[in-house]
Amino acid sequence: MKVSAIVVAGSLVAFAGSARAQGINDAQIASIVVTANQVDIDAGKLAAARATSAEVKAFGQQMVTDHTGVNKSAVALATKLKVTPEDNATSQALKSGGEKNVAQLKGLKGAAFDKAYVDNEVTYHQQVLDALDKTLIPGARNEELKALLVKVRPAFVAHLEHAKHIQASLAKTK
Amino acid sequence: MVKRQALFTAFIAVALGAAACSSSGQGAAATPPKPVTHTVRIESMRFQPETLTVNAGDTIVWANNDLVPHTATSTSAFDSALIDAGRLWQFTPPRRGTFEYVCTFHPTMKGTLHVK
Repeated sequence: MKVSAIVVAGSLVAFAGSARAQGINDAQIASIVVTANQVDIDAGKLAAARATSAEVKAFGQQMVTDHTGVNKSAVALATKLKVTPEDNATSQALKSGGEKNVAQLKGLKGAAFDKAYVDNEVTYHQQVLDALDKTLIPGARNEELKALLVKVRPAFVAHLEHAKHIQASLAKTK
Repeated sequence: MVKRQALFTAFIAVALGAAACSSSGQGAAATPPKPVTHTVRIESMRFQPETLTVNAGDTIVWANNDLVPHTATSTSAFDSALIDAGRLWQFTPPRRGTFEYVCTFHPTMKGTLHVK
């Protein structure tokens, strides 16, 4: 069940290294941001529908709401800047990792589903934060895009803390 | 002439003294502080300031400058319900007290409102 988290995380880590070496453009960053949010929206929708724990269910719904809000702003900015998100190896890896995660979660039920979803959320948010700090924020050339990424960051921090809190409370109820 | 001027000066002094007594003796009770509006900015997943002290009758505006919805919710006194990104919610506390509040969506966000 942790394979999908590792897939998503691995794609971001691999990207951090290659992006530093090769550079990254704003259109690629826009694509990564939109895809990263969409991946968590898809997993959140599943958790909101299938989680057993009320806390996990509510967290899933919150991820849908928050990442939809972030994507709305990202798309609005890309439109304003006339930047067309450019598909790239990282956004593709994120997308396929997210699809694998959802497929695996669909095979789980009850407490096993809740644990797998929350474990993945912890890993996912940590890795996105690392990507923001090491690659996306330093790599953004347009100041408005950089400012948006900086503005988005605290939401990922809050989500990570929230997910860790739920992870700990699930471990206690085992 | 000198006597009349001294009387006049004394009269002025007494009058001024009475006025001073009047303003210092009754002013505080008769003129409560004018209600003002305070703003709590919701930014970077935090209430800023996290602790705010206001006078009874003041209004507090919560301004959500984040990209995601929030709430300002105390257990006993107030609940904004959803404040969408870029929107405001205002509240005038009906009573004095100390009210701790949270964002129900994001439990890491906490604030305190003192109404004196």
